[in-house]
Amino acid sequence: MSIPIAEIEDLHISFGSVSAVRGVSLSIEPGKCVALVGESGSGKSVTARTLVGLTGAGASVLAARVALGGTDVTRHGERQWRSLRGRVAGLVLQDALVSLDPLRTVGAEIAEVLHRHRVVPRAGIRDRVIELLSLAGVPEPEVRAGQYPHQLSGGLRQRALIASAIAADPPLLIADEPTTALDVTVQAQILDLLAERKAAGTGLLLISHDLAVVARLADHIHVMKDGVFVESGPAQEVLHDPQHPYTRSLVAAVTSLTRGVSRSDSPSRAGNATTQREVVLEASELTKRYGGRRAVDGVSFTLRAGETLGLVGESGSGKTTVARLVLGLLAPDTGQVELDGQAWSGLAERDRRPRRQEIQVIHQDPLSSFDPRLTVRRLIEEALPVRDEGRVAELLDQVGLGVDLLGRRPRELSGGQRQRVAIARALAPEPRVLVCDEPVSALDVSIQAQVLDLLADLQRELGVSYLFISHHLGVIHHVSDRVLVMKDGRVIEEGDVHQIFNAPQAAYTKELLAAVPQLEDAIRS
Amino acid sequence: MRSLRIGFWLGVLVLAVLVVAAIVPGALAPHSPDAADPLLTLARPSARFLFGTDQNGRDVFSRVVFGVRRSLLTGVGASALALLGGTVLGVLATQGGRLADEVVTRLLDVQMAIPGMTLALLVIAVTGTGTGSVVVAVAVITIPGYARIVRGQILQIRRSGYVEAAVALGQRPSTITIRHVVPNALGPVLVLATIGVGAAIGAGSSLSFLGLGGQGGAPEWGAMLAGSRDYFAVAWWAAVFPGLAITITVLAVTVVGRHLQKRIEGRQ
Repeated sequence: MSIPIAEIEDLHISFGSVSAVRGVSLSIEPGKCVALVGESGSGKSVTARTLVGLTGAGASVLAARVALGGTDVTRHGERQWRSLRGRVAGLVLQDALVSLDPLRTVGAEIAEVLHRHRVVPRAGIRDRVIELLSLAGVPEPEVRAGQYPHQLSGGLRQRALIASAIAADPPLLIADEPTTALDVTVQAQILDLLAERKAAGTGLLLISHDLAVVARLADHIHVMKDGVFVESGPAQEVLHDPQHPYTRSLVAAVTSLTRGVSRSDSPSRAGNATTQREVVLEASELTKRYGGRRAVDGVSFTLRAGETLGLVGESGSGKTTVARLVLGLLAPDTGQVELDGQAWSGLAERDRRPRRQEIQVIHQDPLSSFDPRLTVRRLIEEALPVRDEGRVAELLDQVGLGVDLLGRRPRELSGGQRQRVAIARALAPEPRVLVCDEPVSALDVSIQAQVLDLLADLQRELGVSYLFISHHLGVIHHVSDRVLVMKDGRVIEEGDVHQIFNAPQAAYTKELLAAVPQLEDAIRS
Repeated sequence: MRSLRIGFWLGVLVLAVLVVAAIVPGALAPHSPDAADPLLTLARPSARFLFGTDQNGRDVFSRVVFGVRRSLLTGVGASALALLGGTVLGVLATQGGRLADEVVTRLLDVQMAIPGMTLALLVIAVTGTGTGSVVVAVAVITIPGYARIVRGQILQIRRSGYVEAAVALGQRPSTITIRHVVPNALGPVLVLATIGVGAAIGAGSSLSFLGLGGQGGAPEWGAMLAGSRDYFAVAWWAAVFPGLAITITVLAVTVVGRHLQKRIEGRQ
């Protein structure tokens, strides 16, 4: 057993009277990865940030011991912290676009770290920057070093951020949700890169809400909830044989989404052939350009009554543009959408308005889709053709909410409650089609499963059809009857959910599926 | 943060006193504002005349107290009028199509190119002197600020998720504007108007200093300053106290307004 690079003992953090972290301890050894897993607000980020002295203004930190490289840092002032950051511990955050200075080139950003900690002689800085970028897997490092953050893709930015975090060769790397903002194929590459650093002897503190991501790297896992570790242990044990009910629910939520338990496997849906049902929505040869770029390029599909059509693709594939075209919020350049066998996309807004209740939408971020001044009661009432107190209560009941929320405003609701209110509002005008644009992407895993179940129940009850858009293959597998795979505005592959996930034809689909981190693989290995 | 709090509560306290003075000036002032005593002109501040007397032998303290109502009304009235005008122009620019937008924004540009006081004098030259004219003049010179912000807010809100949600629910454009866009656009502007009240009081006082406000010797801070101008060398009190009143009022309103603005921004 080697000496730990970082140790925390009995850490307590509070913000004013709110206690965020209560008595957690952890230690990280060289070449090992310790993971903090938990949902938003569990205290994992702030715990990790104590290791770089960045708990933030207004935080009061109490600990029996916080040590970096064997040195106690509990009494360190800002100056001493500055000399440690980057040299002893590097920090990689979720969104590289906000973590990199937009006014400086990527190369300058990395050079700054080298300069600050005097790791290489002045003359060698440029060469070292290039070397670091290529170490972080950035192609053409000479060119990229001279570019600004906005000129790089999300994946390249994250690599550049990692390059600057490892510039001074710190023995500890703290990665806070390093892949959450990235597409699944890019996520796989970044995880590989972090695994390389680990193999090279760097200690890794990985923070994530995603057990499947953690499973790829972690040697030791701490599951965090409400500021305490509810379960800690070697990764294999925690993933394979979770003891705490909360860990079990997390594992269950992830496995149901990654292993791909398809809803259509269940007996109630088997033999439920939707192909004979009437077509409620038909898109033919839709094309939409933005500037010179084709955001959507010749997309066609049909959606039948009571069916879920999954639309999957990475960012920039044109999924959301398709949603807006279908909703009649955007006019296609060519092609058309028919709703219930009648013209829809070609109509003037005046003629479309009376029929808008037939097609409704729920968004990734329900908060922004609510007028912040209105209460839940008003929000739902607005969607009803006539004011009806009883119907409002009925809708809330259908989405599993109590009437006690009627007087609340959107800001006073939790993420899960907000999405339920959004669903209630969308169902209020009794639509035939519901467009779900990344409806669970902003939610914690356990809440995701609840919302997906709710949507499934509602479909069974009401017979509404879903056009379900997501970048998350597990979610798409879970909810869809048929699947459309999109890339660069085109449909790459289309078919039954089993066919797409078990026998994909297109190379791109295969690549996507291979990139998804699988909890099972990690447990088995 | 702590010091900001104290400033805020001090501002609230000052405003509370001012509001009392505006409603029942007689309760605070020991003398009538117009009671002139030719034997006691330009008397020094004393127990009897807290702020001394002016060139006509009137109690400066009582005149300052009685002047509160007019100053506050000028400030609040001008801000309210400017807010109304700015909102109308902002809505017009955003809802009236590209041509309306072009016309409104160009007009605002032209207006902003003219120095504020020159424009205010022009307005009063047309409408004649008097408190009402001062209110209108001050409103006219502050309208563009409000109009621009309302326009920007509306443009931003029209792209928001909740307006799109309302469109998807089949609501009519006019309903959406009245029910969602305008109320949400007004929040930040209302706070700005609170701060604007302070500036409007200052501008109003400047105009009455120039003799363009209420005529006939009614107590008004700007006019008091103007009246005491010739006696400043021998009776500083007749000028300093009304001047202080203007300064403290503007400060108090601004501090409270800024605090409200911070609160709102923090919430968003």
